[in-house]
Amino acid sequence: MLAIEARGLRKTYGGGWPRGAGREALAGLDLSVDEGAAFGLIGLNGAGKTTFIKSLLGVVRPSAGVVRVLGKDPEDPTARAQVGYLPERLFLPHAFTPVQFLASVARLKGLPRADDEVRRQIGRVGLSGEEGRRIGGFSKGMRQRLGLAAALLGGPMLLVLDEPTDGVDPLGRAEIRRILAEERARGATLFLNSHLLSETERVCDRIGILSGGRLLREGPIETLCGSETRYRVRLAPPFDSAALAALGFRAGDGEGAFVVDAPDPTALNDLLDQARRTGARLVGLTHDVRDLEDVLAEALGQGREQGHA
Amino acid sequence: MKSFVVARDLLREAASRRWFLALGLGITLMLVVMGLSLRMDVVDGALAATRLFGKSMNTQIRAADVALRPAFVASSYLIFYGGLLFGVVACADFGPSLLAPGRIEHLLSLPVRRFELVVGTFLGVLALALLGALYGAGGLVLIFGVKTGVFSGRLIVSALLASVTFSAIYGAMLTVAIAARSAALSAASGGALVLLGIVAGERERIAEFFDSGISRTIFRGLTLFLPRVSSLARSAGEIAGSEPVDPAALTSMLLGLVVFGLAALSLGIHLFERKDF
Amino acid sequence: MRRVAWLVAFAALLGLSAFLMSRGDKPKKPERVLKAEFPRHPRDWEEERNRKRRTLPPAAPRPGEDEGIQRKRDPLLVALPVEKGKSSVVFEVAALKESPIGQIWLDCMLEEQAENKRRGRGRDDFKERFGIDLLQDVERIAMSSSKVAVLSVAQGAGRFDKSGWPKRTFGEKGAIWEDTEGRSVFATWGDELVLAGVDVKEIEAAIARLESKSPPQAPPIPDWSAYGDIYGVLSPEELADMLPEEQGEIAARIRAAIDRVDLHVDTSEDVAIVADVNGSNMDDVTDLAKSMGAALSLARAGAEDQGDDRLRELLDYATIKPRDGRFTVDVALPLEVLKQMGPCRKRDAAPSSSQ
Repeated sequence: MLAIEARGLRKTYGGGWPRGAGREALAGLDLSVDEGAAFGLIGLNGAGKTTFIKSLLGVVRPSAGVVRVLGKDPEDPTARAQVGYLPERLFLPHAFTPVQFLASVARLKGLPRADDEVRRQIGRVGLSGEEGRRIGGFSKGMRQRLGLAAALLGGPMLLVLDEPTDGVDPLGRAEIRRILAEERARGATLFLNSHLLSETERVCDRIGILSGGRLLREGPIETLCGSETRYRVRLAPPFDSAALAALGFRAGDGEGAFVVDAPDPTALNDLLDQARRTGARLVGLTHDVRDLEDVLAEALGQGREQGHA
Repeated sequence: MKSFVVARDLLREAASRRWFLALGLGITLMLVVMGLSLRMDVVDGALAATRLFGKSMNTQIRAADVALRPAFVASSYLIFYGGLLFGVVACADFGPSLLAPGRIEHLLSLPVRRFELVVGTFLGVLALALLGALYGAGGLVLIFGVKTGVFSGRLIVSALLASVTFSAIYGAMLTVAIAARSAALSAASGGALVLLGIVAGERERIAEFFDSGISRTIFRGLTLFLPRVSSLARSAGEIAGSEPVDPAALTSMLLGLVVFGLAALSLGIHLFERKDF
Repeated sequence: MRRVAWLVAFAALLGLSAFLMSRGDKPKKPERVLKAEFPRHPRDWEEERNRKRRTLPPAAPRPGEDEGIQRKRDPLLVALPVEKGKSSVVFEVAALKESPIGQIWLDCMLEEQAENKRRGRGRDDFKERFGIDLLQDVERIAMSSSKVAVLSVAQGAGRFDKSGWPKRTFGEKGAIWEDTEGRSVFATWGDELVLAGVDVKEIEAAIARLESKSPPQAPPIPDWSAYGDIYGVLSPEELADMLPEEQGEIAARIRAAIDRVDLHVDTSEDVAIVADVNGSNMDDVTDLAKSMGAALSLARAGAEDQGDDRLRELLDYATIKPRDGRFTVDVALPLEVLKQMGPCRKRDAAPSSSQ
């Protein structure tokens, strides 16, 4: 079953008489996320990520197309009852204590007698001992943790997290990753939107790249970032660069770094044997895996080219 | 109903706001000062002497309930118009605060229907108005009652009338807040509605100043839909002062006021349902 | 449809609210605010009027009095009996006749005149018998509980005649008529006063005072107190006697604590009555003020319990104001209530009783 399904999703802000055409935030987005997956949506500012997330929650009504959450219309409160959401800039009532705030969220989620659950989630996000303090005195990181606790209340089957580690210290981020891993292990689907691509890379197993309201690329992270037939080779000097180039070794970044393509391990070993025969000595060998930044830049570059074409 | 949760949260939020802390403190202080410094000498139901801070206040000996009438009428007008103005200023921010970025998205992501959020906010403010009025009027009634033996619930009824009037006006303020997401505009609309409502309350008399014909018809048409604030204030004063009121006219006016509040709320919900955040 | 459901509800509710609120718009009858001007001191025109009325030369100074402060005197006030413990009240007929309540009562009286005439009473009958029109010729009527009435007649006392009764002159300007059975005495003094009573000695004493033939005594109503449409002085004893039996305690305290009660009534709008109560012991007077306030309060509560709205409303307007060892009792009588209490009452009540 799909946790998230969007078909031909369009959203245009403003527009209509007398304001003209308006601004198109989503331009026919198609996306499917399986239940239990951890999906990361990345893109530049204004790509339409937040609009898409809001469409998932019924906060924004699509101009056209279909969106389904856990098989239901997001307008249906029973669908949203299964969703935990952490907004990018969560407004927390300053006068409330964490317990009061979470108790209120629990009541709105329709959770009966949620005291234990509230305290459990407070402990889980590392806010034990802060139950009696007013939220107004909390740091940004503490607020983010509290927001996460609110999203986790009631064990939702879909967690939609917009910049979940924003303002959280490195150790806190590790804690949040651990919690998200626990949630995934429980069977929940994660839908993550973060500017911290490394975080997305660590948490998600599928990535979608959004630009101009369209999904440019989407797939498993290995597929988008890695290459099965390209390797990074590190050789100790001295080596004959010309001979290596003749074998297909291209110079990489740094002294002794080369990149070589081999369709299979046998071909790779043959190439390495031939290189050794020219006097080169192998000191390092890895798959050539790009980071998400490169993938994003590449995708956006291609997207622009397609746009120009 | 989820609306009650929203209303309860609003009350909790209000309790931490300076405006309402100041109001609560002010009312309490006034009641305490009156309780401690007001001396009333009652002989067989007649108020023989009144001293505030040791200074003689009244020069008449009258039946205590009659002597208290002017005080109740003055309190009624103070609660009515003072409460309206305070409410308009102090409650103008609740709507925009509900719609604050980062809050409304979170609330809408919860399994709550949109109209429940609007109704909850309205109910919260209604409860706030009722509590404020009951506290102030109830305190006064209690103090005067203990000191004179005259316990009259009329001032409380009058204060409740003020609360209902404010709630209807707040319905319109909330609608403006939803449309414009601005506390200033919300307050301005409330203030304007109070002023126009004062005019509407006297529409029959003011209409006489217009030439009969199109101008009078336009005036009548424009004021037809406005709450009759001044009429209601007068009725509240009459109730507090034990003066006779026309129960049929007041009931009709009061029902109309409640329906006006619901109408404003319906428009607000309509706008809220169509809005993206 | 769902999208516009709330909008439709808005339009329907707004229309309904306008309908309901407009039903409460019924123009209210303008509230009749009580317009009572409580007479507490003489107005300028009253001072001027009183000055003109003082036509009697000053009395000879009493022992210890400075001759320089002696003023001319008002003959009507001088003619009133000076006996202690008696009440005297002056009615300004001309002013009362023009007042709203006077007009109302006058209308009723004129309507009833025909019937009264048949029974041998009324204004025309009086005029026929004594030559004086009570409403046209009489300016003031002063009455004393000593059973003496003094009528101030503007240039008309000379017309007074009671033919058939023995007439004799008394003093320089006096003429006295006594009926043969000695039950009524009438007298005139000059062309301005008519005196009536039952005791010829009281009448003679009055004329003697007017002609300064008896030792000078302060009149019961001092000059400064002659203001309002009705004014006078009530004796504590007679005031106490007027109270019902159940107010015996207050009656006793009135007798003990009060020296005199000055009464002033204004009828220029609603009827406003001020009774200025004086006593020598400040504490006693203050206690009495509280007791009377309590009595009024209890009476009002009683009226409320018994559903007597008229009495309750009247008592609503009754206040007692203590000040400087004396107190004033203010009572306002709304015209609407008085209409039901005067001669009109019987006429209004008659049709309903006949229905």
